Amino acid sequence: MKKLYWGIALLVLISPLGLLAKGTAWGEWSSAEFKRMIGFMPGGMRTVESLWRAPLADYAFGGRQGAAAAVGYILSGAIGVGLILIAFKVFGRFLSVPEEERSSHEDT
Amino acid sequence: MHIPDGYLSPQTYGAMYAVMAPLWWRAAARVRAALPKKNLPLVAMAGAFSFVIMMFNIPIPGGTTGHAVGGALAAIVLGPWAAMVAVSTALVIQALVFGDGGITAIAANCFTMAFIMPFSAFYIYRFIAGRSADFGLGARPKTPSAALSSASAQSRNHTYAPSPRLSSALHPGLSAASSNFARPKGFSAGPLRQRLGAFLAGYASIVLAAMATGLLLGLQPLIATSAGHPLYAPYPISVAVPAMAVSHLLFFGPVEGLVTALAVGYFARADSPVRPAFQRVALSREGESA
Repeated sequence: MKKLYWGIALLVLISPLGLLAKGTAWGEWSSAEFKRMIGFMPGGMRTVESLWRAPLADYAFGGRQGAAAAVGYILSGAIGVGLILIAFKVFGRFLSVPEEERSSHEDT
Repeated sequence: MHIPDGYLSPQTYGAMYAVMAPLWWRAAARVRAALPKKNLPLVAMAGAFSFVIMMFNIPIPGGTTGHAVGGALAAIVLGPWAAMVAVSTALVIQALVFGDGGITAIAANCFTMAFIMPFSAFYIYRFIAGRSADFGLGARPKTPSAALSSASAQSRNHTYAPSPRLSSALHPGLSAASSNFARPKGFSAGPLRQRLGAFLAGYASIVLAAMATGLLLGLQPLIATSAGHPLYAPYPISVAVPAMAVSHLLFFGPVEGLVTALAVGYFARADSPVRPAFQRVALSREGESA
């Protein structure tokens, strides 16, 4: 189990490799990119796009270039992993049954 | 493959929430009923792995990027329902905190990456590697037969993970394949089929998920237009599905396949923290006879 944690930590540390890729995934363009590509911004998109402002949008804080972007990316990865582990701590309260009670749950 | 806010019409994302709500409910119920408590951290790790692997953007010709998802690996090791919980959790965090995928599109993105992908991967892997090569750490058996009674007997004895699928390997008479795999030595056919099954499961499942994403995007011009202009994702099915399919067939599919095969290959080794059911059975038998 410890090995798996270290593996995830290593992946987080080398995650800035993922920043080397320039460009946007197909179907994930921003409104500015849209205007450049098809000349207009679809009407329904405008109303929904500003619905939610993600606190750490695009895994970037402190800068989008160079070392700052890389550090931000690593921190984002660490924060994301941390939040997932915390989420599962919470899930654990109701997602799992103690072994002693398990046999009575087998038939449900 | 993360559909942002504004790309799907309310009819579409609403429908996806309606589809996903019972599936999430079912996944939670299955995990609660079948997953041994000590394996829950493994589900968390699968979610974390999925989250991190999606950060590795890969550039491809044509100026776009993409990434592996990790949903196939989670499904093979933990079963499709636990994988659904793991990948959904990663997708929700990505949408809420990092703006990767829209919050209106959370259900749609979970449908493609946390439902279509794990389920297709799980059954492709099982078809190629064989039922006895299941890791069996998370899901319940399909047929409640002798398997169930022995599984609950195991859990009462507190011996080891009460994975119901183990029981088919515990009764070598049930299938020829399982008796082969259950031998302590001589997994000759096992590892190769496992790796091949893992590769193809990763490869095919991400392509299927990508095509479903393309279909959801491609449906939008049919659903909502205003004065001839599309209101949401503007490209028709004839553009969106091939665009998603080809990039994943050529680039991200092989990457997902490779990641899945390497990880499953690692887990199949004797010193790995997680091993497939047949090996754990084999090892426990060795222990008994010694």
